[in-house]
Amino acid sequence: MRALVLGGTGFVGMNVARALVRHGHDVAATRRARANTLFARKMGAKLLVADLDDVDSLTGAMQGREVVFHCAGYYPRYSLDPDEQVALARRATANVVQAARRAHVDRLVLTSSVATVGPPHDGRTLSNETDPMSEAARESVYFSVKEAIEQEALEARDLDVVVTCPGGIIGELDVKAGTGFVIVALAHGLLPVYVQGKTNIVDADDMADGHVLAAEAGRTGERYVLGGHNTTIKDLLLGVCEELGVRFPAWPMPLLLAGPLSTFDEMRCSVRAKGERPFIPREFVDIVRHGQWFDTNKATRDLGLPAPVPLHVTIRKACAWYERFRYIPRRTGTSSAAAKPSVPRIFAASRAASPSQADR
Amino acid sequence: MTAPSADILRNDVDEIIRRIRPDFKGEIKDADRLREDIGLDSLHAMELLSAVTEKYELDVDIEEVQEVKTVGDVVNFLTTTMG
Repeated sequence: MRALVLGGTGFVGMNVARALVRHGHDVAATRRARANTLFARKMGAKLLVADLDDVDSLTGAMQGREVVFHCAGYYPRYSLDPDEQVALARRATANVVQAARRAHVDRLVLTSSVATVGPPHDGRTLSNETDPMSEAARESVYFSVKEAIEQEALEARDLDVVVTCPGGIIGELDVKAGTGFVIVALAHGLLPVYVQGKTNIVDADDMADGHVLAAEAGRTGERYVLGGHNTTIKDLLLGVCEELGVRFPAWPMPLLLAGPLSTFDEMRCSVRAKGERPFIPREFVDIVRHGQWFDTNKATRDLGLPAPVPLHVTIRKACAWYERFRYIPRRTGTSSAAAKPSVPRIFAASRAASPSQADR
Repeated sequence: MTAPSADILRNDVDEIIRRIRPDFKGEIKDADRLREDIGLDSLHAMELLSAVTEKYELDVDIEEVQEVKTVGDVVNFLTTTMG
């Protein structure tokens, strides 16, 4: 297929682009003019400048493309102005839909989230695509934004839209350390507490392959949960600690405390510097509060989604990536530590030329 | 592409740093460390390195790029890579 990935410099977009290339497709990906493209340039996809606020640029990028993967869903950094956040998300999605119409693309694959899937009904223990989001979850800006994006895309009846709902994604190319934030924080000893709850973790490669399968075999207007492993926050952290060889954070923080703390942290960050990342992201707390376990039968049956990568392998891959690119300290006694590269020659020369710098 | 002079590279690096950190008003010196002296966090530093390597269409080893610590390192990296 001739594919275009929107959000080609982001975590999801780069993994989807890489998977498409691996499957032999002709891939282009969009980037913002000033995006960090260090990693995206390595994916084997042609990079095109486009902006979600600019329908013309989106239309231009989509020209001649059969399938568009919208992996650039609006992500609310703060929860402080819900109506504005939802409006921004809807507007960006409407622009993508409008551009897809203009460019006559055959299919739009939208990356949503399991956040849009609610608690299980009918006595089931696992949630599936038929379970609507709960009213309580809609009070979360993150959840309501994700729901608004889905609705905006699926309301475009004249367009062939397929929606994927990945769980918490862990893996390579997580440049901004999304769900993998916990790995980076644990490695630096910066996660003294945790909030216990249900979660579902999917390997980034499985998530990306799920997108390719959704494009090839998904049914128009359908949503597919791309889940990996149903687990708990505590077990996930235990797995990460075991891989990293670090101490497990001993203190479970009650949700009653985590909620107000995350709100306070958001307010602090929004006042200090626009764009600063809260240390206790509100959406993380919301995700734990409304966390579910998921049934992935629909994606397995209809898309042919294979069995997920084992969770410990996913954790190992992610840790190795963060270690390789200096997000976390080098571990001793691991294969990656043994393979630690020497200081590149150019910097060795630079330090020799100005020893005072090297000493700083 | 003909390799630009070190002065031109240095001007480009300055310009990009000031774009990324518009609130940094001081003089930018070769010995300034990107993180401690200029105040670039790791994502900002990657943005800088992305911008300069993209401008000169350099296909670089990301791990090697991440060894850059100072403004002078960035210019040396560009000079060496294009040399």
